[in-house]
Amino acid sequence: MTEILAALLLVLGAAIALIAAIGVARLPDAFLRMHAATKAGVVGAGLMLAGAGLAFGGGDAWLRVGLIVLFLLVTVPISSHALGRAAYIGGAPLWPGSADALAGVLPRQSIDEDGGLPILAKHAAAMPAPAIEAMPTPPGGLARPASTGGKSGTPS
Amino acid sequence: MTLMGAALALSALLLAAAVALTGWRMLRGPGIADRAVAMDLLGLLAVGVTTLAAVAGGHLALLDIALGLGLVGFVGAVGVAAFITRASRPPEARDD
Repeated sequence: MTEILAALLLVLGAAIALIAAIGVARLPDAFLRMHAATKAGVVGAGLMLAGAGLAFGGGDAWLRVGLIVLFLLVTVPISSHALGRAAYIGGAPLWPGSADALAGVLPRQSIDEDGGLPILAKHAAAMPAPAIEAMPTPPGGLARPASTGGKSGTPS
Repeated sequence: MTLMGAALALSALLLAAAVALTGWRMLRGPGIADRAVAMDLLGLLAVGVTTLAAVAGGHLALLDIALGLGLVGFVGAVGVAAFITRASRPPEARDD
């Protein structure tokens, strides 16, 4: 019975990890991909770890499984938040169907068509400085522009 | 083939497909943020693969390696995020 449950948890965790990978491969922009990778990824890894704890059975196995799951639950939100913030500041393009709720809150770099960082391209090729939006606060201060504000921002 | 053996083989197959899809996204990009997100997920998948190897081989010590892989993935993701943020600032706004 324990073995059946452990096998089920392992397969379920691997399937959810595959769903996370499909999300990373198929979703349209970096922020949606991060959303799929972190949430489904942690659930997939956690279920596989629970299956491993059941398969081993001992107290020291459960101690390790508990530690790893706790560690993942603490660190993955932090790293995904840092990555999302960096992607926004670095100018990763938004999917056209999503509203830019952070406009005017965080500085955002303009970006060239193929998605590379203009600053990095400048360092590599010694080109003139690219156009960068005003920093650290854009003109008009930190208030959000009315056109992009909040909940009603669903473009047709 | 025992039940656990079949479950391990099926899990390994699913994880291999997941690693292939994530690696494709990491190679394709198109931006550095997409690659960093794919790398983050690859770290989580590595934890899963190591767990699977621990169950398949019966080595409890591999779970410690899974913990280490999770730590390395976290530090790597935060480091890449700090690099992107720093590299996106204009030169006159840098304090370093």
